[in-house]
Amino acid sequence: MTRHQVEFVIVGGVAISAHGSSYLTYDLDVCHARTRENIKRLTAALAPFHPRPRDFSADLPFVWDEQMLRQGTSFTLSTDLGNIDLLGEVSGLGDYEQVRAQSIVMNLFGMQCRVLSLDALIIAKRAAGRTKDLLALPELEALREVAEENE
Amino acid sequence: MNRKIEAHLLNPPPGSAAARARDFGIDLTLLIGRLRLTPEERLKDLQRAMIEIETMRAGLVRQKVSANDTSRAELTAIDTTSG
Repeated sequence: MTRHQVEFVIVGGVAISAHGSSYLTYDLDVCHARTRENIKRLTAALAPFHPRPRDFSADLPFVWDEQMLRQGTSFTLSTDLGNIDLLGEVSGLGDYEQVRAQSIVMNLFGMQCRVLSLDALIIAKRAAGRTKDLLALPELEALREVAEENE
Repeated sequence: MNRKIEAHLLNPPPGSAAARARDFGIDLTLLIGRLRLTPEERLKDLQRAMIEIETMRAGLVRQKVSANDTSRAELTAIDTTSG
């Protein structure tokens, strides 16, 4: 996605893990800009990896294109690379622009990637409010505390 | 990670977020280990862990299928001899 210049921020479990948590996750959650140009780039970036909604049965026809991506804001996809969740917005934070404003840049695999900040992850987890989100909070708050001490 | 942070996590001050996390059941020594890594190394670790879990899960499913096949074969044998 970075190579295709997709505007996105890594949120969710992978972001939590990148900050130092031992949280395990099976999918990559990314919040993406909903502009026409970005949707075009996103479609091209993921196409080689055969994305398909995880809740679609294998025998149903499915076409991965810009039109499909424009019809919704959030998609839970399986791809050749693993599960990817595309989000148009994040609970407690808002849309891509608001999420981007609360992200930091990390050097990951030779690329500069935007990752949701610890403060924003805590806000998002609190807002999501599911048991699995709330369970992540004590560790995130401890990580934020040590990050503040490090500053 | 500096020594001050390591000391903070090894002996969290009462009332601190680290103390609350420890009391909640978070292993802070694991956190120390993770904080020594770069974000990229942390994600590589995550990927390795997920592959290991997936491998174990696939192994368990294979074992279960194999056990079911054996049970079915035994039931068929009983059915044949009793019939």
